Amino acid sequence: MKIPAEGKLLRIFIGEQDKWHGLPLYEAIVNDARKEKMAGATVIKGCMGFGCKSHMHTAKLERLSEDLPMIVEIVDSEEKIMAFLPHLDEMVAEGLITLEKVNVIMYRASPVAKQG
Amino acid sequence: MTEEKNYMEKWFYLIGGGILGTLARYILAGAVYQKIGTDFPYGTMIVNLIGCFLIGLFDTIFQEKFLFSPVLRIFLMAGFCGAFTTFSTFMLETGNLIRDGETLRAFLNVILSVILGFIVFRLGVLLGEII
Repeated sequence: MKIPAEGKLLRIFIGEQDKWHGLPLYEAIVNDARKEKMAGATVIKGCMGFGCKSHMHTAKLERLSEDLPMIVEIVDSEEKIMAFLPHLDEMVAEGLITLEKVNVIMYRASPVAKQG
Repeated sequence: MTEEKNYMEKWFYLIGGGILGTLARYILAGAVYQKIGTDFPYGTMIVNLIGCFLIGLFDTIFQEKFLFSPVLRIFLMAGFCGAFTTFSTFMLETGNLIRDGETLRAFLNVILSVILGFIVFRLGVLLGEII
């Protein structure tokens, strides 16, 4: 699989309590991205943040540590990212989705990993 | 699952954990006093120590190992540990401040909680006596 040198970075900002058909939403998005043969997806957990409701979430304070921010990042060609957006529109009930241009420097697996 | 359903689920787990935590504290502290004696608040201390251990364990499993779902975390930490002993939350937050290098705030958290806690306790006693 290849990504053009000028790719797109899709970022999906959601909460760790968000769900899709019983699964954590971040997990459902990654599973869906894999099913759609996207180049890759990474989930990053945030330790502090707030969203459109301005509710503060922080890992530091027990009472406010529910629903910490989760970011799913997907890099691929513009065409594939655009084709994936309707899935997200359905899945993400609350959150933020951003898209930006990125220069792909390298995207490769080691020969051993490729064989495996 | 709808947002409303998620919201209800959260309260269900919180209350369930709270009930179990309250019962566990009441039964354990009573058993400790029966076994060890009553010349020192052993029961409360043992409950506090166990609570600190459990919240440290649960928090690490949740934050670093990703083994608990968010509602299980609410059940175990906010519900069970919170009702078992709020000292566990106090220790978790003090530990978080120390981990983040905020030693002065951690120290203030301990000192202010204990000293102010004792002062407002005495104020409560005074008010009770006046009434």
